[in-house]
Amino acid sequence: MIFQRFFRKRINAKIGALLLSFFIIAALIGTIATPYDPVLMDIRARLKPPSSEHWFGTDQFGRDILSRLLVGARESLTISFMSVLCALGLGVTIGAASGYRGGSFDRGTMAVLDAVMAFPGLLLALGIIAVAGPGKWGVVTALGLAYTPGITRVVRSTVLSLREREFIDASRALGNSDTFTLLRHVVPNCMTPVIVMGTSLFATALLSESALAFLGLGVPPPNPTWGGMLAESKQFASTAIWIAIFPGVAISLTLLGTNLFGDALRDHLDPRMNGQ
Amino acid sequence: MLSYSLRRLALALPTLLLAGILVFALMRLVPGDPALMFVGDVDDPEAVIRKRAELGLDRSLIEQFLLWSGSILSGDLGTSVKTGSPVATEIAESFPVTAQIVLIATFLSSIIAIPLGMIAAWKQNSSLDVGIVGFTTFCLSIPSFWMAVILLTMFGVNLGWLPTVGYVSMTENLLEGALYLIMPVTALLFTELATLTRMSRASTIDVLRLDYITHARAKGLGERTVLWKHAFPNAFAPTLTVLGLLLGHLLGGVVVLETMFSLPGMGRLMIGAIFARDYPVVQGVLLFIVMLYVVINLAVDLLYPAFDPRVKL
Repeated sequence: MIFQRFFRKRINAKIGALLLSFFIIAALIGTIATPYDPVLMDIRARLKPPSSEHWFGTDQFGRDILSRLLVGARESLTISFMSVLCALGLGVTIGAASGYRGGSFDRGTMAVLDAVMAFPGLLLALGIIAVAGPGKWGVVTALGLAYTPGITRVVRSTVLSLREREFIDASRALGNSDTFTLLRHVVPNCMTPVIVMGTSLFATALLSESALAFLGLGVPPPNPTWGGMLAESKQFASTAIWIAIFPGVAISLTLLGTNLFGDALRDHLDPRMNGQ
Repeated sequence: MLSYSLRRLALALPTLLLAGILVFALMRLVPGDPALMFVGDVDDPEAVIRKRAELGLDRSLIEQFLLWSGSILSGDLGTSVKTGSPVATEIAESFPVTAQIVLIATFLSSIIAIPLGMIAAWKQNSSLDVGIVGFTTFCLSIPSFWMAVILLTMFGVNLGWLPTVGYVSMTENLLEGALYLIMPVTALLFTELATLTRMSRASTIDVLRLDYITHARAKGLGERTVLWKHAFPNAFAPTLTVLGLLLGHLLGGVVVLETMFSLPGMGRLMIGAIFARDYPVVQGVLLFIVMLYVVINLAVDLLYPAFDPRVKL
């Protein structure tokens, strides 16, 4: 019912959902089985153009690009998803507590978050990785922490406006504890902006994850990631363009799907941007 | 004006102080002994103890922080472990390269994106608007480093029109220097273009919905006058704020492109430092960027009243 209303007349929601489900299925396939071993090198088959044997061709070590893309989908999507989840968990907790408590606790938290936000996201992530070390968990920690302030601010401002509403007073008057009121009544009501922001953040996270992998700070080779595949393609792209095309298209289409879906979600949940 | 400026300045200081504390704390989290890093793999406990005393590592954390901030305020960002030269000098050498790319890309995208967003807003929900918004979504989906790989392959290697890697300062040789910048700037341009167009569109839509626009139309002014004289000046101010925020993020985004095109900018300096575990350089770049970011946004806020007279001083 809700879904029907969301998708009807929204071509971007349809395309977005289609693209996203396509890549999620690809990631699932990558988890279960791939046509070839994604890290198996075969020097005889190096830099082969797309054929019936290797649909997307092979790279400079003769590894099957399709298999690497499927496994890369799993890595890229889970890392981005986990870092967004990390930011959401931290952001909602801090934001709700800060907005609900108010006072000097709130002022202090906001001052610290302002300072964190003064660092450009990717740069802060780089700084954290410099300390935490590269790799899957380093990237999740770095991106999660870098995105937390944004979520916190949105949650806090929503909680601030909710706090003055009658149903919150009613919950208090019934003798409910602050924690109960917060969890049962305040937090569920600030989920709309959180979902919208989380969706657009997923695109940012995917982009940053690819950028970090591209720089060689993500999942270490030979494990495939989309960004890492692009980085390796640089030297061979002039003779074997397919090495650069396919991972790039994969990143772009996932970003496109997320952006389209996110825009549709925002229009749906926040009618102000509808323009009607 | 003066009191507004002072108030805004007073707000920026705690942010800088807290950001400084954050960087300090982050660097203390680094596993291992910094003194050992300077001394290297020599088996000489005496030297390590001497280095520890020299770096002030034998004092309390508060004392260390005060000493640290004191030296930073006097412009001493420490020495690079890798090259042994002062971090401040390395940053001063690499910053102009980064600034050049970011400023050129920002300038080019502003002159395209701001009018484009305004036109889209003016023709809201028309096919032109849908087309422009579609174009921005498309641009947002192309990572700058992918664009860079494609540009490099096409124009650098296959066609051979542009130099692929390296850098020549524009002050030394204007034309050649510009040639080296074409591809990095183009790669950076698209995402920036998309963000700015969207912002410009959103703020123009907000303004066009206000009563004074209806009034201007009702009193019979031509659509062109309404747009240029009434709507656009007011829609410009929020876009300016975003431009300030965007500049900071571009400084982050340019990191990948500098590595890609081997440009001796700050991003490459930082990446090199991360791989070499050269923490003084990482710390220096972080501090420099955060200061720059706060100063840029301060400047935008101070300029704001000039563009938006509604902001009372």
